[in-house]
Amino acid sequence: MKKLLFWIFLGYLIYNLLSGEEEVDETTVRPPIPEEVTFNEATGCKSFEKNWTWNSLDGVTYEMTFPVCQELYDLSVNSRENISLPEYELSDTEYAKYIYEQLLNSVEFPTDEFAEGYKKLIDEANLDYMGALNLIISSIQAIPYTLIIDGNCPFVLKGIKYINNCAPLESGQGCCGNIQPFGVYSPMEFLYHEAGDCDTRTVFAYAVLKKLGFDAVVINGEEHSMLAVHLPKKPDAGSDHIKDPWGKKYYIWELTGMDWGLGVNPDVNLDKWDIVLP
Amino acid sequence: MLNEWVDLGTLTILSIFYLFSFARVQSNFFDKYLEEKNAAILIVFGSSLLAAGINLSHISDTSSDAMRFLLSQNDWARSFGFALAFFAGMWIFSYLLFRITFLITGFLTPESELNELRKNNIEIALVHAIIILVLSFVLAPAMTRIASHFVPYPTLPF
Repeated sequence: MKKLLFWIFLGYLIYNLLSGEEEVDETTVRPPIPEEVTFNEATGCKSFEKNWTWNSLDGVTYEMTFPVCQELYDLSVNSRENISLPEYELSDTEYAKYIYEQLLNSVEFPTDEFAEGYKKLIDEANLDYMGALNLIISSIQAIPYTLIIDGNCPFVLKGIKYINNCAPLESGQGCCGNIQPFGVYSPMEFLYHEAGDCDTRTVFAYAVLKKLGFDAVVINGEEHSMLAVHLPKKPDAGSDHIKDPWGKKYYIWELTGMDWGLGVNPDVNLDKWDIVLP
Repeated sequence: MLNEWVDLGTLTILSIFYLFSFARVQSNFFDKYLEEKNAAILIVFGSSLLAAGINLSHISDTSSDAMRFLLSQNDWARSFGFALAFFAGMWIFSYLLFRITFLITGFLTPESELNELRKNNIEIALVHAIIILVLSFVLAPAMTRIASHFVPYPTLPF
């Protein structure tokens, strides 16, 4: 009996290896969005609360609770879906800039409540400029990766299979399909779904940092997107940077995974990258 | 735009002063200990200038970043202070490195290096040149990293 089970198990393993199919863990790491959203007097709209707990790059655990306004989300989705595409031909960088600007201008984001949440945490922890950046960015990095595409899911990208599940999966192999145009969520949608790939995250981080007054840019290249932050000196983690036309240095920041520090290069050739959102 | 011009002007003046004063001090040193110039002495003299130049290129980058940031904060005194301190610090480091490499090369030969240079010993001059250049390439980035720790972060924007 044991031998039979062994051979069945071995056969199953060989079948999986040959067929290239892999089981993707569909464990979600965030609570689902409530089906019933009630009116909240404090926010002045139908809203529900989200709670984020994450470890900062400094090793400290932070927790933030904030309201998410359903109507603002609906407006964001509607605005994104109705973006009027340019009738003239644009380069990849110009097209990305056009879409990102439309997403940022359609709905005011972040809300005051959300920005105040970060400010309060930074004040309480008595953080300096770099500490504050670490806190904000690590809260975005802590959200599992989800591929956002304008086509259909499932999708295989760079040998990784992304399944047709738009929830934030622990495996980071979720996929949200048919997101038009350009396969990018607006910042409000990222907050709502807690799902995003490279450019969804960078646009979100850019919106938050700009609202709080930090000097950041979005950079795109090699079919990837990263955030870049200006500092007057080399960061501790790394020194890779991109320069604006005036020679001002912006140190790169990879947002698609945890523990990427400022200035650390995720194996990209920055000569092929451009500043998309200055 | 004004900040970039001020930065450029300051870097130009400080770099010229740095190289001029370093070349002058080195020249005096060689005149004092080595009466006649020969090929071996020129190799050591040239390599010391090149090493000082490598150190200069590293510190000018850090200095420029700090200066432009402080100028953007309208902190003119500190921006010039930092630039001056960085250049002066690197000048001293370059000079110390030059003197230390005499010690290192001295360990490699039983003869006095100065005597060998007087005798136009090209081999020992080249060894000295390689040591000082390699040390500059290795140590200058570390020195600038230490220097950049003195540059303040911006204050929180809220």
